[in-house]
Amino acid sequence: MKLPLGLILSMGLCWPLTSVTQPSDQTREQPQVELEDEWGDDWQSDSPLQISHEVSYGYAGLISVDDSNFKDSVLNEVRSKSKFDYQSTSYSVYFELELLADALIDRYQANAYQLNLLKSFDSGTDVRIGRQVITWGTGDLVFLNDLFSKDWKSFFNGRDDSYLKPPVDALRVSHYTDTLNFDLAWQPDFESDQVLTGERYSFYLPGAGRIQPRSELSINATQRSEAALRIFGAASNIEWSLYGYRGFFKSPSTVNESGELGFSRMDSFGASLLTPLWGGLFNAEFSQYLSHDDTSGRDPLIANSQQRFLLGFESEIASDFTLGVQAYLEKTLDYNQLSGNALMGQVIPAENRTMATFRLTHQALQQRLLNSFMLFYSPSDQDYYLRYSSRYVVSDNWKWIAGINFMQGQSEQTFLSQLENNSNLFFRVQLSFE
Amino acid sequence: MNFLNLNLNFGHVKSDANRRGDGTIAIEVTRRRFCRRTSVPAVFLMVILSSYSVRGAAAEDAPMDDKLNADQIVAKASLSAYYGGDDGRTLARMRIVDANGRKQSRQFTILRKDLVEGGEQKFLVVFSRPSDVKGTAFMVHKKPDGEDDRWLYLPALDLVKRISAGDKRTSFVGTHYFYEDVSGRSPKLDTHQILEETDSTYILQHRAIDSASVEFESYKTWIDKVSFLPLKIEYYDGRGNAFRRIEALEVKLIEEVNTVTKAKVSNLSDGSFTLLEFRKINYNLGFPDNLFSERSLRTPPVNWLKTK
Repeated sequence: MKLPLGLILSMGLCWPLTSVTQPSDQTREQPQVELEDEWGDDWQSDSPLQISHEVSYGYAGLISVDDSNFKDSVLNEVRSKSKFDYQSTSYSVYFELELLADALIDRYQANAYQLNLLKSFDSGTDVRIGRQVITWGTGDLVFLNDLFSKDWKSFFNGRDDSYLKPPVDALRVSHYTDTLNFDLAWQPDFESDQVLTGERYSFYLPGAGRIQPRSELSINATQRSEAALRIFGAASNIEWSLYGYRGFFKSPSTVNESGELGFSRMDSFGASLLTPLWGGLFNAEFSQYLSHDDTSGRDPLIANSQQRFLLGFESEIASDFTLGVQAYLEKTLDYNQLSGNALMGQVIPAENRTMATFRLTHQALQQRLLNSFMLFYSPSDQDYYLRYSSRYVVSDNWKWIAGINFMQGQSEQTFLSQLENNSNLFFRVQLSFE
Repeated sequence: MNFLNLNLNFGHVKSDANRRGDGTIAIEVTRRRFCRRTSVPAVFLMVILSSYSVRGAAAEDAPMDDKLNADQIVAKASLSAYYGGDDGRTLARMRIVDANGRKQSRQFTILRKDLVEGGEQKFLVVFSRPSDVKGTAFMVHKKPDGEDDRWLYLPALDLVKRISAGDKRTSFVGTHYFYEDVSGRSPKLDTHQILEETDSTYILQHRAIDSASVEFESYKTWIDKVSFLPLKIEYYDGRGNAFRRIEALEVKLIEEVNTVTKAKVSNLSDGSFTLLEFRKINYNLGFPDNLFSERSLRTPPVNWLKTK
């Protein structure tokens, strides 16, 4: 196992920080504090424009290095974000400027990570236009009806969870009434999930096994629009939602004659509910994906229709310990047509892909320390993903985060198992200031 | 009884503070002893804030020679402490100082609306500091007879997360305040006993009926006899040693409501503490019911959050 010096140093630094707040046995006289001296008069200004900044460095070293990956890390980057938030009583503008120095793939760029304009109307309508993050659905890192782009490249290497949900260019119209609420998101250009293409991770390639491809996979973009709708409300403490989507499969779902990956048409509908139960929270969600270009399932080069089911329960099992469990089923429809027409060597999914997740969250040191242990286990694929992190808040400005991403499985081609050689230990340090 | 609220609320405490003689903190009271309306607002964290308004009539109903029993005092204190004004807004900041003197801060705006006098309340808390949690919002529908409904909004993910019921005696957003300090502890959970009665103050002792569910053996409250607002709360361990204290440091008269503007909760075992200050407090703003909905989590209600 190769670990960079920085990681070892950071672990060494973290240790004393986590051990300093043990209360002493002896009662101690409290410091006599004059409030103003202690604190000053540092209240935020009333200015409608608020500016803040965040700079972070992250590194993720592979736990075992072999020939499958080009490099011995999957994360080595400095990111800075400057957030400009202008809120007036008539409209709001939000802008996030991101500067990225990604040493792993030699990419250095500045981009408008988010840039959007919000207008709220007294009639109960909010309109937000521009680059923005949109999330809905009831799953914990499991998505059924949330068909907004996910960045899977950011999921397995220790980046902050928020990078899984990148902003999208959209017009979002939300309308709220006393009984029903509506959320409509229209995206002029379809934005797919950011799937693994080989620049960072190794994965399974038919005929070659688990490797990083010499050149990144090329995926044909689709220029057409997509739209998603949610209608939601609450009755008797049950929060319910209905969902609709018109667009494309979010991951490559088709291959053309020259072997290029692309996205085929997909519409979906679904529903979810969430309610307090037995001292915890219970959620259930369903979605149906309709594969427009292959309604019978006979074309092996176009994804079939699917049904997805999720049940979840979360409860605080002890003080400062929260346990969440989820059971997920992804059922491929017209499976006999798919398996009967599959090409030689083609990898097809299990008819019923199952997944269970367990997440244990623990807070300690008066919430300075947050530990999150999450296990994704697929009985159908016989593989698992262990996602663990500890976050330590040093001060209002500094945070340390360290953890593990560990993937393993029986077969080298299943969803999580194919990522086995990317298993890593990571750390991040984050500075935020105004 | 909601301790935080109790703690935050108190009317005329100057003489009492002097009598305590702790000398560390000057309590400033800006109103006369018999005011028409003694209430402390409400403002405090999610729940934090409650406003208290004790009507003058309530105070006058309780003459000094009225022999109330402990349960009646607690009931009056609870009522006094919570439901003043129909709604309220405040800017709040907290300074957390750990046993080694390291500091953290929190700053947020709280909106509160009472649905039923003495009953359900709704709260919206929008954080502005530290900068990495700016825009994070917390909403509570407080149900005195059941579990509160709680939601958290994380702006970086645009995620509205319902929060399950939990131990209420754990830290609120990393401070020394407990959720229960903020959201209220039902008087029915404890037994109450009068320890001492001075000219101005009732001193009560309380013990949890389910002692396994709390970290204290008992606690004491100092309740003003006129306003029925608590001045101080101290928690004791099995050996009778005080290990935790909540106290108000400053009260001001705001919009005819006696309002705590500075408070402190201390861990007496290790010297760590959290200071709390309120500013830009307003009452009876006429918040609509639907202000406390998912819309306000995802889209900060600037018109209601901005100070006058």
